[in-house]
Formats: sequence, structure tokens, C-alpha cells
Amino acid sequence: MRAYFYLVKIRMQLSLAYRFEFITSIFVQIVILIANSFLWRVLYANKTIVAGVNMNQMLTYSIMSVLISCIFYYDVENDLRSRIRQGDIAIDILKPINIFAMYFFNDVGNALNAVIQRILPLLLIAALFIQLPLPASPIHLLLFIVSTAFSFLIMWLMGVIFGMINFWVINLGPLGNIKEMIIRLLSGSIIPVWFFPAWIQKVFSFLPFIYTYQQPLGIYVGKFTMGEALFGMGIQLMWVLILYGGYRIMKNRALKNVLIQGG
Amino acid sequence: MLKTMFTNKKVITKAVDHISFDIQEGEIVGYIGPNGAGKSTTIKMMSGILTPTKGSILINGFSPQKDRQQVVKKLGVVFGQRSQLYWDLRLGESFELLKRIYQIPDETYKSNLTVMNEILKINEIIDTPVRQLSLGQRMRGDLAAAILHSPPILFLDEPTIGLDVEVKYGIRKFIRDINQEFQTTIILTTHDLDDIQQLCDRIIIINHGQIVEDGSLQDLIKRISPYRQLILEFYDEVPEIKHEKAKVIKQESSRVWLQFDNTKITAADLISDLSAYNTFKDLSLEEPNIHDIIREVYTET
Repeated sequence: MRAYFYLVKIRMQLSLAYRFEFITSIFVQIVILIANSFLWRVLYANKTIVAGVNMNQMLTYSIMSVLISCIFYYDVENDLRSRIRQGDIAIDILKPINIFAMYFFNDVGNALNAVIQRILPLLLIAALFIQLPLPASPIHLLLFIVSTAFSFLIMWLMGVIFGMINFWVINLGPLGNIKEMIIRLLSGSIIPVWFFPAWIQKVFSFLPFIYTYQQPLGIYVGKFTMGEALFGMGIQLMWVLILYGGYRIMKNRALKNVLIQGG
Repeated sequence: MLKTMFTNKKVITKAVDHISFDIQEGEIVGYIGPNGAGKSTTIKMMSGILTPTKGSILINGFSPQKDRQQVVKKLGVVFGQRSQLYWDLRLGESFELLKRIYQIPDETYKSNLTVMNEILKINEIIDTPVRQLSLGQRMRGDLAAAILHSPPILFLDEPTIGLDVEVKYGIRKFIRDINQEFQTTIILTTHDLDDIQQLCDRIIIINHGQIVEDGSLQDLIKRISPYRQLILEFYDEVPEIKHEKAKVIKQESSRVWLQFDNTKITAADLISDLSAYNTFKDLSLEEPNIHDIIREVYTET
């Protein structure tokens, strides 16, 4: 276990080595943050409540969406792709440790970094230029944190499963990016699915996507009743277990299928 | 182009086939063969990275495929062309992580670092970020990293590749030292035959995925090329030389090359026989060339 904590520490140290990348990407996020707020102000121009949500709730929703997207950034998929492609996966397999747990704690380190290096400054900017995104109540905040942790697990497990496909095809190509786009669109990260027609909402409720962004965000702004919130979190947990099962099945086959590129 | 898109004909190439050997504790074995012979494939199967389609491997009684974690705990592996060090962090940081991954006790860790400093001068580079190390320094770091957990078995896959004479010398000394000090079993793949000559009690030669030689280097030399050469230089013209146990193989102006089998006559006897009725200015002896011998094995198998 101490090895895993040390990986978290190393990841946090490494992020200091890439300051320029950090500055450019936070700039992009500030632009998204501001642009989103203008969009919602325009859409709410003549209305007070749409689908049971007022403008302030919607602004909070869009701010928090940008904030949590910072911790949903994980390396595992790209790491697997490049390490399998270049054969460095061999080095990882030589360690007497679960290599996927190694990647997981790497990404936990990334998430902790994101809280300190991105979320705090972005929160400050949002508070100054848009509004302070307050939760509906302290209990909503608590549920939001738990729900976000589930979302992180869902996203990470999807990432590791996609990454593992590289064991068979050596290079997944743009499929990973397409997955990212689909998540972005279907998860409610930009527009909550509750604005869509009822039948679309029905279809989406059977897919894992809305349980990544919309579930914690809906809880945070108080869109869901307590019952709805807990039910949704139950479904999140179910998705975590399903994806974990998929990961376990793939993991054992993947390691038997290792090919090492280049000598 | 279209053809490769739509047909996916599989060609099965056996990287290694019918390979079988036992290695004793404390041996240094040179595992050599031309590029693409299957050396690295074997090393990767022995360390549990690749799974053989058939056959079995046991390391200390454990299968690297079935009990991967059990086996790799006892292994140190260095790939000359890959590094296990964190590129952007100081070298010591990678060691600290390994200490936790292998659960190395504090005292063992400290004493191993001290030994490593004696052999590899690790303290000179331990605080430098890995990306700033030269290839030779990085290799020192990688070797240290591989034996930090005192593994009884060490696989070295081309550890001297691309290194200068001085660093190569240091690495050979390191290999000898840890073999003597800890009785470490070492399997070494290399293209540098000087490594083999200076380190290995035993060599296994693999070609086209199959073992073609397994034994000591001396035996191999004796069998393939038992001849030595005596080169004589005279003051002027070369006289006619006749000796029943030596043969003239080359002659040019004042010099002559004689080939003899040193199991039949010693160099000293041959020289004294010849000097009995000849006077020569200079002489030299030539050992069989290990490069030629190995090349002969490679091309004839």
C-alpha cells in the first residue's frame, strides 16, 4: 500500500515539472467557464424556471461541470496506449504489484493535483466573474462528493477498459477520442439531459454516461429529490460494479496477450 | 494497400522453438545469438512478460506465468534499451518507489545503497534528474535499481549497448562483483563478445529460435577452431620451413604464418624446434579469434 501512496506523491511532484502545460490548459478552461455562463444567461433571458431549474442553479451547474471535469482527466488510457505501443509495458509487468492499481493511483495523484492546482483557481475566477457556485445544502454537498467519487470510478474504469483494447490491436487510433466526445455530449456535461425529450432521457438512463456528470451536478444544484439522488447513486454503484467486472475479465486475458514491441 | 486492408492472412513465425536449459545457482551464463534469434523473447518469457504457447518455465520452482508476482520479486531485470527510471524525477526518487514496491526493509535498503555506491558510484548521480544523466550514468542507475531488492537472479538484456569502454569496464566489474558477493545467478544477453569472454562460465548460443551451442567458451573454441598461429619475421628472405606439426598458411616478403594445433604441440616446443636451424628477428602468437568463431557458428546454423 505504501508503494501506491508513493505513486500518488510522485505524480504530484511530476505535475510541477509540467507547468507550461498546466497554464495553457487552465486558460482554455477559463474560456469555457465564461462562455458557458453567457450561453445560459442568454437562454434564460425571458424565463425564470426551465425543467424545474432556475438560472442561478444552471450557472452553478455549468461552473461545477468545468470544475469536476478537471478531476475526470486521467492518464491510464493514454499511458496504456503509449506503453504498449513502445513496449515499455514490459517494465511495469516486471513489478511484483498489480500494474493497473499502479495506474489507478497515478490518476488519484492527478485528481488530487487537479483539486489544488486547477479547481481552486477556477473556483476563485468563477466566484469573481460569474457567481459563487453554492450547493443546495450541506447534505447535498456531501452526497455530491460521494457521487463525484463514483463518477471518477466509472470514468476511470471506462478509460482502463479502452486502454486495454490496445493489448489486442496495438494502437486504438482515434476511438479513444470518439469515446471522450460521446461522454462530453451524452453525459450532460454541457447541456443537462433533462432539457431533452422524455424518450431520449429514458434511453440515456440505461447508459452509463449521465451517471458521470449529470448525477453529481444535479445533486449539487438540488435538482433531484433526496430519493432520486440516492436512487441515482445506487445506479452509479451498479455501473461501477459492472465496469469493474468487465475490467477483471479483460485484465486476465490482456496479460496473456502481451506483445512487446521493439526488442 | 487495399489488399492489406481487406485480407488478414496470418503467418505464424516461431520466435523460439524447442528451447531447453537448466541454470544453476551462482552461474553467469552468456545467452547470445544474432539479431532476431530469439534472445529477448526468451528473457521475456522467463520474466513472465510473454506467455509461451507451449512448454514450461520454472524459476526457483515457480512458473513466471502462473505466479508472476512470486517470480518477479526474486528477479532483477535490466533492458539496455529501456529504462525503469522516472525521466523527470531525481534518480533517488525512483529508488524510493522501488523500495516500497518490493517492500525492502530499511537496513537492507541502506546497505544495498552503500554497496551500490562502492561499485557504481551511485551517490554522484542520485540527486540528478534522470533526463539529465548520460547514457552511461543512466545505465548505472538502472543496474542499481534492478538489484536494490537483492534479487538472487538477474537478467541483463544487452546492458553494455552503446556504452564507452570505461563504462563497459565498470559494468563488467559490477556483474563480477555482485556475482561473487551475493552468489547472484546472472543471465546476460549481449552482442559484445568481450563481455562474454570476460564474464561467462558458460554460453548458450541461440539461432533461428533454437539452441545451437551450450557449453563453456573454451570448449567451443577447442572444437571449432583448435588452431593457433605463429607469425615469424626474418631479417630478409623467408627460408623454407618444414615442420610435421605446423603448416605454412601465408607468406609475404619477410614474414610467414604458421598454423598449429596446440593439443598436438605447444608453442614453446614449436619455437625451439624452428629456432634450432633458423634465426628470426621477431615472433608473435595469435589466439583464435572469438569473433570469427562465433560468426562461424551463426552462419553455419
